[in-house]
Formats: sequence, C-alpha cells, structure tokens
Amino acid sequence: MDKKKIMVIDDEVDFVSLVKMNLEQTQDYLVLGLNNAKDISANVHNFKPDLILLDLVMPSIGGLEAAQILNEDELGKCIPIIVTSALGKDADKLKAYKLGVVDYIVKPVDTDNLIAAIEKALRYKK
Amino acid sequence: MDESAYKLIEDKLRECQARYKSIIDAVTDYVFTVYFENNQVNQTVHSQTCEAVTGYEPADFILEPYLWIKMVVTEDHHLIYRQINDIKQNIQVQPIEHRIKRKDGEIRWVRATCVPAYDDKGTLMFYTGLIKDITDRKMAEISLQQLNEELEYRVRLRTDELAHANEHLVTEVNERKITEERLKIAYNELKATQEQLVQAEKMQLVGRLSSGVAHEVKNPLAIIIQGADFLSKNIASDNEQIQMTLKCIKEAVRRADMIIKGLLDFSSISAINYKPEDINAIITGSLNLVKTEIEKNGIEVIAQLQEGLPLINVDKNKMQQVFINLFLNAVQAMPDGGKLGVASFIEGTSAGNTAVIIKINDEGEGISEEVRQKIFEPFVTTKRRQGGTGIGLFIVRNIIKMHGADITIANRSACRGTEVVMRLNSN
Repeated sequence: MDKKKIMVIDDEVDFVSLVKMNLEQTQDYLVLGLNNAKDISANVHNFKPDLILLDLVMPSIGGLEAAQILNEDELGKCIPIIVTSALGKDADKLKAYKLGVVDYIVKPVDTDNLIAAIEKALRYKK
Repeated sequence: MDESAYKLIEDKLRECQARYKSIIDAVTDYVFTVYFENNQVNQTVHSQTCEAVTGYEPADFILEPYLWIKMVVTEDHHLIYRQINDIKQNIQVQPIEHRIKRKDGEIRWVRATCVPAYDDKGTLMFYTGLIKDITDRKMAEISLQQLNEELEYRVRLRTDELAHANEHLVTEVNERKITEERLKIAYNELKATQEQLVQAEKMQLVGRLSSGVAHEVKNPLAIIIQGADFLSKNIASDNEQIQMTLKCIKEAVRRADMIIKGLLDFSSISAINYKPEDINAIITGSLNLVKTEIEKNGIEVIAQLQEGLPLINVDKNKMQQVFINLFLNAVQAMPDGGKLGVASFIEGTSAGNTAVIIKINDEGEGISEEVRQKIFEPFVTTKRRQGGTGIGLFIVRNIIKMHGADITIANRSACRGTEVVMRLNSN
C-alpha cells in the first residue's frame, strides 16, 4: 500500500517534528513538515500531499489565509485540510469550516486521535 | 347745764375739731362729705387737701354745688350714681375707682371709699368719702396690662409661628424621610450595578488574559503529548516504570488542558445576553442534558418546581452552564446513588421585591467548613484525583454575580449532604 503523503504546517518546530516522527513510524505516512505557509502553493505542487494539517496562528501567512490560497489553486482545492490549532472558540472553528476545512482539532491532541481524524478525512476524499 | 359746763364742752368740741382738721389737712388724700336732705344731695364739704388732688379749693365746691360730680369724667358717672344708690338703699358699698378731670384739665385716677351715716329711721343723712389719688398705680396697672396684652399678643403670634414652623418641619421631615428612602434604594441599585460593572470588567480582563494564556499553553501541551506518544511507541513496552511515567505525563497534560478549557469557559462569561426566561424550563433542560450521568450513577431526581414563576432576565446558556455544573457536582458527590433535590419557588424580600429561590441538594458526604469558606475561589476542589480543576464553582459564582444574584453552599441541617441556594431577583 502506498504511503499517504501528509503535509504538516505549524510554526511550532517541535510539534511539526514530533508529529512527523509519530506518523511516519506507523509506516503508513510520508510527512513533509513546514514551519510557515509562505510558499504553500509551490510546496503543494511539489509534494502533492493527500492531506494537510494546518495551524491557524502563524507569523506572516496565517492558516486561514493559507486555506484561502489553496482554495484558489486547482490542485490545492482538492486536498483535504485538518486544522490543528490552540484556538478553540466556536467563532474560530466557524471561520475555518467556511473555508472548506474537513476537520478542526484543538490542541493538545494525541497521536491516536490525530491518526483517527486523518483516516476519516482520507476516507471522505475517496 | 350751767354756763361753765357748756363752755367746757364747747372748748372740748373746738379742740376736737381743730385736731381733726389738722389731721385731715396733713394727709395728701382728702376727705369729703356729701349731705342729703329729702334724699337729695344738699351740700358737699371738701377738706383742705382736695386742692392737691383736684386742683380745686374747698371754696370752689361751695360756690359750685355740683362741681364734685362735674369733675368726674363723664364715662365714669355711672359708677358714682350706682355707689350713691347703694348707699341710699343701705347696701354695703365697696370702694370704686374712677377718673376725674382736674381744674388744669389733667385726668387723674382716684379711689373713693365711702362711709354713710343714717338717722334713727334709716334715712341717709350724709356720707363721708376718702379720695385717694391712685393715678401712678393705675398708670402702672394700665402699662402692665398693655405690656401683658402685648406680651400675650407676641406669645400668641410666636405660638402661631411655631405651630406653623412645626407643621412645616413635620412636612419637611416626612418629605426628607421619603427622599432618604428613595436615595437609599437608588444607592443600593447603583451599588449593585457598580458591582456588576466592576465584576464584568474584571471578567473581561481575565477573559482576555485567559485567551492569550490558553493559546500559549496549549501549543507546548501539544508538543508534550506528541513527545510522550513517540516515546511510548519507541521504548520497550516491558519497562513498566517508563510506561507509567509516560502515562502520568499524558494525564498531567489532560488536566492542564482541562484547566485551560475552564479558563476559556470563564473568559466567555463576560458576553452575557439577558432575556426574560422561564427559569423552570432552564432547570428542566439542564437536567435532561445530564440525564445520562444521573441514570448511570443510580440517582433519583426529586424536582419541586413551583408553577407560574415570573420570567427572569437571565442569559439562558450561562444559567444552563450553572445548573449543569451544580447537577454534575451533586452526581459526583453521590457515587453510590442517592437523591438529587431541585426546588424553585418565589419569595418576598425585605425591600418589597420578590425573588425566585432555587435550591439544589444532594445526599453526599457534605463539605468541611474550611472548604465551604473558599469553595467559590478558583482552583479549589475536593476532586483533584477525579480530575476536578476547581474552576466550575468559580465560574458558577461569577455567572450568578453577573446576574446580580446570590449563591450560597452549606451542609444540609436535617440530613447529610450539601445544599446550594440561589436567589435571583425577579424585578
């Protein structure tokens, strides 16, 4: 079975590293970790992820802006996005869902729940 | 009688007359005698001192037979005539006081004391009167009377003024009392509003801080939990101590996350949306939301909700948060089952308003006095091992305060367990 490609975008460097390690050691995923969303379109075109884990609060380009950029991209708009953010208010979730994200996980999240959310999102993609 | 004896008597008589005249002339008062013949005044004789009182000499009265009555002020004639009539009728007369007009025109007051003399048949022969000038005394009396009258007038005037002032004062005091009462009510309302505003402001500040802190804390928590996950998968599973340590780390992250969630709940209190609501409907709705927990713990709900309670201005969601919190506390206090009592009723307050009282009680172990005193403070919990964060009742108290209401918690007196009493103003 081909490994699913997951792109993790979060300005918390350690979080990105640990998520990458936890997902890749399951042997089911190939992870590209990014600490900002500056070149998101180019990175998506290069890596062609099956799913993106996206933080909201980031310097320069925030998660919502990044989702907007992907929505305007032919390839990007087909990739499911799961938001992983420390923000947990309904208003924050609503803004994200309006941009078409498939799930919204409030940090902290353990690996089991994260994988469950990824699998669910990938099933919908099929 | 021989001539020598007659002469002796005549000498004695002359001597008496002389002594009498010298006495009469010596006094400033004067004596007069009015003689009668056929019951009519015939002659008047006035002593020498009459001039001092009347200005007339005794000879003037001889020349002018009616001078004695003419000199009496016309307005006082009736007093004289009444006195003469009484004398004629042999009635004992009292001294009279009247005015005379002196020869020089001056008006004087005199006191006339009369002694009548009758013959064997009781016919009036004459009467002798003593006239005393009492002008000074009379003037003093009149002045005194005038002063008295003036004084009485002033007293009456002052009394009237005082009565009026008193009446005015009573009205003013009553008005002041009413105003004071109104001020007191307004002050209390203002104080309550101010407290609510201060509370709202405090909570807004805490809310803003909490949101910021929450974001900053949740990211490291996410790293810790991901780290613990990685380690647990990459360390020999037979090393129990390490596995236990990782489990503790994950549990600590979960607890920290719960506290952050509590703070975020708290930060959302400041935005309150008041609407007139049926408090019983909110209670029933909240009970339904925790129905699973209630049934799972074998708890029986005894609800006594008074019908027809007035609508109360509350934030429905926030009050639901309060009730759910209190119901879950009661459920957790009775792990082996028991009765959860909920009652609502209306009660009059001392200020003349009405309040809706809500009581929630359980049959748990109750709380110590030490815990009771600080139970509404943040992070105070008796359920730390069961995952309690001590935020719940802190939030409950703040929501209740923002509604301008009261909440108390105490052990039940009749049986074991605790009772929460809320007092919501229905006006």
